[in-house]
Amino acid sequence: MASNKECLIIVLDVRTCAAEEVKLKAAKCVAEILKDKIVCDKKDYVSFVLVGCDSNKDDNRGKNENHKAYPNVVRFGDPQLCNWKLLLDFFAFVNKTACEEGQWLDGLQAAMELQDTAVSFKTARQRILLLFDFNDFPQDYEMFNEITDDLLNKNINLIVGTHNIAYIDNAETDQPQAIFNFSRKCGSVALENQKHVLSLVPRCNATLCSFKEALLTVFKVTNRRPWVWNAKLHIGSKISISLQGMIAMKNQTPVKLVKVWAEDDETVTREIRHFIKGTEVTPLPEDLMAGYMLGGTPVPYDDTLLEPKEPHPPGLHFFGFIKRNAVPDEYFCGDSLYLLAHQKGNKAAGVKLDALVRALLSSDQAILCWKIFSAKFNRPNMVVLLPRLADDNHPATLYMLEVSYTAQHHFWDFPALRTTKTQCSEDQLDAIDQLIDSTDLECSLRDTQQPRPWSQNDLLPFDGLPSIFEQNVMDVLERKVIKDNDRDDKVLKDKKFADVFWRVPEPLEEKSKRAAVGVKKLFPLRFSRAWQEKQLAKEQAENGVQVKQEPPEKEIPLPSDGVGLTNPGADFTRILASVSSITNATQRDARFQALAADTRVVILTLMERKKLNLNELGEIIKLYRQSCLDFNAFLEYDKFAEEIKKVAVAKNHSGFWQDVMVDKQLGPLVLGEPTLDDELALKAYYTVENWEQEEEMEN
Amino acid sequence: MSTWNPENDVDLLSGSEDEEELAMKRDYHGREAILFVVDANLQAGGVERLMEALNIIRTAFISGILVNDKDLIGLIFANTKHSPPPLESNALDSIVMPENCAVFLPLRQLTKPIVEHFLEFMGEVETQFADKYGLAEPDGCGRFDLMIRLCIELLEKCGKKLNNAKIAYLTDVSTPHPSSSNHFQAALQKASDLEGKEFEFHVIPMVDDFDYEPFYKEFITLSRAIELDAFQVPDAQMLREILADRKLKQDFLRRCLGHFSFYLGPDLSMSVQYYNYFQRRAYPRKVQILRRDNSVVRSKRVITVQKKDEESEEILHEYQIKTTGGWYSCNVGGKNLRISMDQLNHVRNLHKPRMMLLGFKHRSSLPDVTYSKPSNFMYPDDQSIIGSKRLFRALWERCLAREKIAICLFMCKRKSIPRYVALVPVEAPDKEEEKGYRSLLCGDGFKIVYLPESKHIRHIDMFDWNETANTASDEGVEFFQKIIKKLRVDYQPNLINDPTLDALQSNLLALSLDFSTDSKGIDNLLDSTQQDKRIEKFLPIYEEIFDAEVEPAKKRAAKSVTAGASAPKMPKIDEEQLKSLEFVNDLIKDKRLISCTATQLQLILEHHFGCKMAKSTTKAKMVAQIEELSV
Repeated sequence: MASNKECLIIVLDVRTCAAEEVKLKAAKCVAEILKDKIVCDKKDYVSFVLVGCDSNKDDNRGKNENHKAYPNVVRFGDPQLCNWKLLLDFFAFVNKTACEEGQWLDGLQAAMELQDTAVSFKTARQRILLLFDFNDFPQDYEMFNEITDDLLNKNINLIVGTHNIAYIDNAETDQPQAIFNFSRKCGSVALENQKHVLSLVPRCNATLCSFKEALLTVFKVTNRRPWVWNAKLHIGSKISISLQGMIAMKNQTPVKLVKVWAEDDETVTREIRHFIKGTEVTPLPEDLMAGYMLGGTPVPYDDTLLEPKEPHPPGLHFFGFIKRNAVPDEYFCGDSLYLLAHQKGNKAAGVKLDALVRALLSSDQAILCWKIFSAKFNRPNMVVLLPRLADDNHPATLYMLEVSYTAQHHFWDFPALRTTKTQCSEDQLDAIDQLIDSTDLECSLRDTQQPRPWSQNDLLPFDGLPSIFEQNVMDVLERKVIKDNDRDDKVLKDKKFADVFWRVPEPLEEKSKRAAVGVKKLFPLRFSRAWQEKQLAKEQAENGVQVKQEPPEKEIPLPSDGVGLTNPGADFTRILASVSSITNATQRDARFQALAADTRVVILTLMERKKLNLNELGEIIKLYRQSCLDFNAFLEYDKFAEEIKKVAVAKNHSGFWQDVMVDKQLGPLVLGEPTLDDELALKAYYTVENWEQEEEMEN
Repeated sequence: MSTWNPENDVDLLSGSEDEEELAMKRDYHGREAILFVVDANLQAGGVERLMEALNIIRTAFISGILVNDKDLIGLIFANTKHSPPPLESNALDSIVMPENCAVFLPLRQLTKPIVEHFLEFMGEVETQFADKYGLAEPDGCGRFDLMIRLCIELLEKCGKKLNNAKIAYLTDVSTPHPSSSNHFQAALQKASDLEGKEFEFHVIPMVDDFDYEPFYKEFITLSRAIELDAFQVPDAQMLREILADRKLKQDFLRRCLGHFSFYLGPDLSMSVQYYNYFQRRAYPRKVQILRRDNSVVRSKRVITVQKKDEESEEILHEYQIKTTGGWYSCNVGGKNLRISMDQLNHVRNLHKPRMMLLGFKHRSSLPDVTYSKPSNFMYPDDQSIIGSKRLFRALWERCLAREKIAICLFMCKRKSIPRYVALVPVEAPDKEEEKGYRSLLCGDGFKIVYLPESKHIRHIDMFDWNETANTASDEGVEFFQKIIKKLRVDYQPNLINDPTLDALQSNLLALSLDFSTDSKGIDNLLDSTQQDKRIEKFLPIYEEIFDAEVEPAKKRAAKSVTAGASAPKMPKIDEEQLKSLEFVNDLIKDKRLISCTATQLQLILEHHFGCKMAKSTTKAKMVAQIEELSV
């Protein structure tokens, strides 16, 4: 069977002169690679080479004692399968005593020797990942040509990752190309180093990339010998084409963990028990027969009694040619997308498929046919075959997708969205346009020819979406392994694991946030109290007695059920009541903080208005001030009071200041009986001297 | 003693996050109910129209009995002159029966006798319906409000918890009462009762040019709490067709897969709900039956963990665990670290259910063919966050106009997996132009397209397939163009059924109700004589243009031993040999166990060591086990 395991040797820069950033990122990069290989149970072999150690003696040299020694280069040992132990060992290994010297070409040579020892593993791929800081320290390039030729001859794939990489689009190929970031600080030695690294690309097909891309490149492996499903496409009884189907996309998790049911000294037995209306019975196997429910009536149905049928002939059986877009993609089902090519080496089949695909494309048609996977998996499925024209990299092929049956389809009755009630104003639509423009993942980049820090002209390319669940599992396991801890659940509460994914790509973050604020201002939205109550009641009804044990998070409205602009006072009182009802003190305080932050924003926003609603403002500030007393949040309020003052002065809201702040005495909080100092401070706060001047100036 | 397959154990890592399954489970909190109401006015112009309505119900009964065995179905007649009681007359004891209505079947789970009773009744309709039920006098107008009240009462007092209740009214009269009458107002008022009780009301017009304006437009929009101008006039014929399939255009409010908040920014969210375009394949429920009396036997898997004292064989402790029990173990340098199921569940709970906007792209950036899992549909929901609908519409309209798609991260519910999705704006087709299946697909809203994660995309190097010799001649292309012309069909989803299901259903019907259906069977579908006939005249050219296919030679030619081939396979071992312990010990000694098949190893384990390992156990593990046990 085709094996797709690889041997990967990672060369790391540990020289003292290398940038800390490079060393940290390199170690992180290696950890990610190892984690992935461990958790997905890959059978790949890995080893490491350090460049820049103060010795050149390997720790645990494998069988090949006669490895040549290179100055300042240390090998980890023979390539081995990945496990958690290896990860821990790597963390220790990478912290070896370092020095300033070290040649990356020596590291490469050591890595190639390790690859030689790995030939016996019969891997499908050999790769070397070089993570290095090509800085202003001289390197010896005498052997450069020899080594790069050697890499090419041995068919070893080299990936080079470093930090100061940017991307531009190659004018000829229109493909992204890596270059070094231009920097004034760059000395002549560094330029020489960079020149050599860049020439690795044409000399031995190396991939030069940033750390992030290096990781993606390591993970992205092309497969020359995929698993194939051999089948014939029959059109009528005379025309048939031998095809090979392979999986192009499949929704499956590669995470493999060992499931254990019991302790080592315990035995596990599994059995099936039988019940009739809740009472356990022990029928003999011959007493039981198979059947189906026909409504409420069980109907015996013995497959064996019916005439046993010949299995349907496996393969693809033609049903009809249909318009290319006749089957709506909404009706696609199944868990994978197949690609059908002609049978490898079967030239006649290749020619026929090419003719068929071209004919389909020229007449804008697709094929509908019955798929019968094999004599064993014999249930026919309706599939649609979509043509794909041949190009330089692949022959003419067909995509194959399963189609759902009409009996499964839902027919919804959705009311039209365009009604008078949902009519939007020009401003509102503009705000949405603003949001779309400021969160554009592609266009803003396409216009510029500037080098960019990421490879594609897209901040979220479709072929680079991370597997979040897998990443979480890996990270959590890593944390547990490093901490060597069975039960520590704190790890799991770490929000960082999740939060990295829930954000707009960084370059757009600020812009999109501003646009969202713009949208929020124009679209009145508020939480429906009735609905929340209904949900709660429903939940309580469903959970029955267990209501009391309900996790506290559920019954408390989320902080985003915030204080609205229309009726802030009422909102605040309501939410505060629910916050106060939380029994857990830490949680209560956290909720209050969130509410307070919300409220401050609301107050400041209300103060932005041209015409101030003094009653409203007075009410909400007073309520907030009182709550700060109750929650011991003095400092916060004092700070905020200063802020109010600043805004009021800047906006020249003298009326507001007198009627609300001064008359209602909403200044900084004072604990107990005010001292003289307190009194003076308050007086200073309430006094604003330069109103009149400004008013006069205005007049 | 049992045929246990550990692979069927629930595995947190693989299948259990099926959102739809979760949604279906929720539905077990209650049953689905459908109450058919047939207007006696249908007999006015001759009995054919009435028969057509009853025929629709017949197919609905039969398809219902075959697929959803728990659903409740009822049937009443409205605007009749007489009110004959149903077969089980005491079913109406607590029900106030209004005049001009007759209950044929109170809400019941369908059984074989019920369907037989209905079929019998259908046989008599032509001769007896007019006498037995008649038409309300003088004008065929019974009180509509009382009829609705009866429906509500029947649904509420059916004795089962309902999750989704529908009333399907089959009629050909566009208004139950003249619009000026008091009865008309009373009828309209009943709509709010339906809305409050979350009962769906559907009118199924038995004539094609049915006018919704006088009454039903208002009644239906009121009963669903939607705006009058959001009402879309359905195609009557299509409604009848899908009702016969025992489906109705589903009410968007009740049957969603879930509600969630869609965040456009850190502090800006709207409430939306999402739906599936199709459900999982519904097969009749397979059960085990006791041969003696046909009672249904439920089976339950039980996993027991035991600890025995090594010497006395005494059971020290014993407990049962659930299929979700146990833990995951990972080996760290000789020590096993435990990850409990709870902890792994926590990993899933790291994320909150919601959708978050990450950015926009042009619609053309979405690859032509991409697939990860079936798409869903998203529609706003003004219930939780009031004002969502307007914001949703604005976003939808601008995306449509500017051909944009929104890329989002979507966690549909707790314990599922966050996924990247593309929101593609879609628009309800113009009902006048599009009468086909596409008009049934969906309305205005966003299609949620699930994007494959990078690890789901396989990168295949097609170098070994790609040869210039593959290029076909123009004649070849022309040939297939001719074939395409001859074998074109129109895609009509309602004509394509699951052949396996069809066959099973017709067998079941033949077995229990003794009537045959016109199911063609898959063999018929695979029959290619028709195709052959249509392309007959081109076939001679086919052989001229294309060479005959030659299977490529198998790669694995046997290597000679001298060329360093692996040791020849040992002579075949038969079962008898394996049953001899001596033979097995020899195998162990010679380290030849690994050349046995997995089945053989299982046999050795079971026969000699009384140990049974999971079917999925690898050979290496079994060999290790045997070696260990044999010491």
